[in-house]
Amino acid sequence: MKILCTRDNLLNGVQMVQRAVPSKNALPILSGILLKAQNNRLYFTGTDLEMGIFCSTPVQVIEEGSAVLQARIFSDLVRHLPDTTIEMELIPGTKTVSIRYNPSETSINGMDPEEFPVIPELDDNLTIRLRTQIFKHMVKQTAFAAALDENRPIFTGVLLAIENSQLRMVATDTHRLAYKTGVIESTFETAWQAIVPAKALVEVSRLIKEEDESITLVLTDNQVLFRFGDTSVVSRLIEGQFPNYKQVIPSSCKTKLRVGTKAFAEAVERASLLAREGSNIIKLKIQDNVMVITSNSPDLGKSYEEIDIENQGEETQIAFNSRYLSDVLKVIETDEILIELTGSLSPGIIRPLEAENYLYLILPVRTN
Amino acid sequence: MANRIRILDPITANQIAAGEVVERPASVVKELVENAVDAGASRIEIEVAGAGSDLIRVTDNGCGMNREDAVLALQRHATSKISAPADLAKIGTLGFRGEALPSIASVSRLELMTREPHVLAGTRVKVAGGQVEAVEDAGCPAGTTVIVRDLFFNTPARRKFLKSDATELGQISDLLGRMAMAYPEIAFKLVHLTRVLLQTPGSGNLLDPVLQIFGKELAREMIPVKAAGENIVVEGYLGRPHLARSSRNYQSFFINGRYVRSKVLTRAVADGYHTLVPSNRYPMVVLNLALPVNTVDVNVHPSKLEVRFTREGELAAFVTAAVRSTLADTLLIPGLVPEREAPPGWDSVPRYPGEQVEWGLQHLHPGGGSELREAPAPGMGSADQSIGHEVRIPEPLERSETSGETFTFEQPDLLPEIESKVREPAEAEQPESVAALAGMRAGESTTTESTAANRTSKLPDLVPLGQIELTYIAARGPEGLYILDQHAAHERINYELLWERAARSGGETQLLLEPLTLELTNQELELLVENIALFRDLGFLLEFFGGNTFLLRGRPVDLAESDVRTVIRDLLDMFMDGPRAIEPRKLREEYIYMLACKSSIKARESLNQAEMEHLIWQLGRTENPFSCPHGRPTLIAITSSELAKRFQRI
Repeated sequence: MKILCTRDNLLNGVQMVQRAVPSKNALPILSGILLKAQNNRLYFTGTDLEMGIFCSTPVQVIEEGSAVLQARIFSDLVRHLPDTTIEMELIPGTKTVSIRYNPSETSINGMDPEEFPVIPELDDNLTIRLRTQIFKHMVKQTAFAAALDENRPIFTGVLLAIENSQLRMVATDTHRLAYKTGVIESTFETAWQAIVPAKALVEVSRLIKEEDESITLVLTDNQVLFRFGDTSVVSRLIEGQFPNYKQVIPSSCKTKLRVGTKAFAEAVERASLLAREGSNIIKLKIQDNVMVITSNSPDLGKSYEEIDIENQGEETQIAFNSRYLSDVLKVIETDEILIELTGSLSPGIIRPLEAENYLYLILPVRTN
Repeated sequence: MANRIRILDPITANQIAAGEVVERPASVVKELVENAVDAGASRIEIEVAGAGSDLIRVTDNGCGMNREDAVLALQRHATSKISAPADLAKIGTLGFRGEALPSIASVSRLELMTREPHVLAGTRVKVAGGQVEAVEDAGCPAGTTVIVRDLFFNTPARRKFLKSDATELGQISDLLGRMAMAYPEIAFKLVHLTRVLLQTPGSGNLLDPVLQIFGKELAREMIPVKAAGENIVVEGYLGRPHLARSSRNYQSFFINGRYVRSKVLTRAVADGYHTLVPSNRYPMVVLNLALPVNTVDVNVHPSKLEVRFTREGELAAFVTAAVRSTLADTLLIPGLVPEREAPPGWDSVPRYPGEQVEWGLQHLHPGGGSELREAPAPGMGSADQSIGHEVRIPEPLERSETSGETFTFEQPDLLPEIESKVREPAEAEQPESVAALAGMRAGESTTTESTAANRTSKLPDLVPLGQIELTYIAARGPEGLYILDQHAAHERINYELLWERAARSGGETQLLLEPLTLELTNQELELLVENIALFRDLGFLLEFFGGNTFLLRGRPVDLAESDVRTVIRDLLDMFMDGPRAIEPRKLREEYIYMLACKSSIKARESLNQAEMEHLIWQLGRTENPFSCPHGRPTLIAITSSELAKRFQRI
């Protein structure tokens, strides 16, 4: 392998794929980045076996070939390379890559590219395409609701479902559930669904660049591939049965109120400061046109917040873990939200005002 | 056909009664000594030979009897102590059944000498096997002397069942030790052959008999407790938690001067020591309770060892509170009762260990002579370990031919000094608690509503020096070196924090969108079904799904989801062997133990200086910084003087 390239060529690729390189791993080969020179492009690959990231950049290939370099050393070197023509060459008969930037040279001992896991090519027969802005927005409003705890793996994923030419994303950690729909560009009649690790979706969102207009999802039985710009991300799917989200979303409510997002979010934040340690419990009391939010920590103090609302239903009260409220209030972009409640033991629902494509369901805390 | 049923002759009847009351020499001693106490004696001397089978002589300086009474006293159901059924409801004397003396007389050769103080001539009554042989004038000191010879001479079966002399003597000695603690104002003296086994000054100070019975090492580690409430006074000594034994034999309870065994009191004390001693150990305690006589029923069993209380819940709560607040105000660090110079004469005071049986064996050992092992050393852990500390028993303090003569106890006058020495450690090291202690003594319970942060530290000033094996924290303090168990210490902190929180809220349930399934064994399932409401109170919202499956529809807000399954299983395991209906308080407690343990620093975790300091700071502000919730110590001390000894500086 021998190529000529620039620092920016390398930096972009390294920074992209490095996100998939595990910080600690029993398999040493995974701590490396696979470099492959072919067809006047340099291909970068990083993977932790759960997720793989590929990207490529045009370079001048003098001799095709591949090498694996320690991601940490290589990326740190690239970051500090001078802005000049860089020559990279795999010393024949060795695994060492020589990186030359006139008049200096750094040689990095690499690993055997043959050992690098092969990420299978996916058939393109099941693909959908949508605008990256829509995709990013969907991930932002759902992925946070997935569980971090690996105890029940399906809840660490986000359900991706295609129904009626719409993509749906649903995530829940069993305490709250976020549901979002988005329009897809390609028409797609087959119903399909899969559970994608939330972590992979967040990574993809992060890797999407401004100029990437659309994203393509390639779906198989156990993997999903996201392709945008020069980059592809492949992720395994989580096996298991996602709970029937439609069933848990109540179709009616007894209390329906309208409240300003910002005022509510700030009141919740303040109240949560004084929620009892370890529980985050805040209490909402919905009156005619006022909502009172209270919290009480015997050690720290207590909080009383009152905000104006428009209530179209019964008065009620309910207790929530404040974190589940503030999480959603951070991702809702409309100025006002609707809150739907039915007593203090049924799930509450939060929707952005006049936006039918998002719904957030939150389970209350039963207090004595 | 002749009638088959007939009234038994009195002697046979008395022998049957004797079967209940007079089991062994110790029971004779008990009955006679109790009579002496009821007679208002201030001195009681007991002399035994042949472990009581050959001779028991009990001499008192009480009120004595006239001749008619002396004769009558030997008849069944003859008593001066009660006269009507109603009196049974308010028994203020130790005896009342009127059975003891005739019972004893029916199985021995008994001689009774008695004189009322204001009468010149005394009376001598001789009885053998229940038959009065002689009633005559006799010269004798004021009071009563009862001599019992050849016990069980006419009931060979009973005699055969007596245990070894060592055991029987041990029982007598044990019994008198208890009597002496019940009546510190009475001077007791027990002589076996020519050896004085027990002698108390009758000073009225409980510390004297405690010192005699437990020895100075243990007595030094006993914490005085005193609390008075409406209709109740509790007074006595509490052993430091690390002295706790594996048997209840080291717990002595006295109700109005009567030694009793009481589950209610044992439990109340255990509650007071709760979390300070492991659950299978029993703290050493001596507690005298004064209660209105009409609230105690002693007429439960002829031996009068068991009693019933009319308001047992209140009584138990009072005792628990007294024990708890006394312990809470005391520095309970094992190893930290500094060695002090014994006042002169301590070692010459005759003293006997609590384990009288062991003593007896020692005594019989040829060449064992007058040397005696001291009671187990404090801080040595096992109850059965004794230190190789030999104490010489002095020669009897006075002439032993005591029959019929007045006697005086020669007791070194050192008691005030001893008292101050014993009390000093607890108070001197802990000035801030003195006020609280004083409040307690005045009969108030010290219930401070303060939260952990604004309490003053209960620990001495400790400066952490570093970790040992990443498990213990070594610290420098006023008395020397202190070593903390970091996990135990943090557990204690978290345990109290969680209790405080649980007291204020608790049971809050985060409902789940998708229930968690829980597969249980049949046994677990039954236990859970039975107690599902209790789990609900903790915040576990469980629903029976069918088969062996439960659905968890909500979990306690404080509990991480990943821990839910293990916690439920562990809780069920904990109660698997107990009764089917779990006690709510126990369940909550175990649950809080688990939460505390999960959130605590583990062993082999590295801590920096600030973390160690903070841990010590927090520990000092707990209610009970000296043990983890399971009763293991959180810190121990190696005193400067011990260090000096080890390095042979002194």
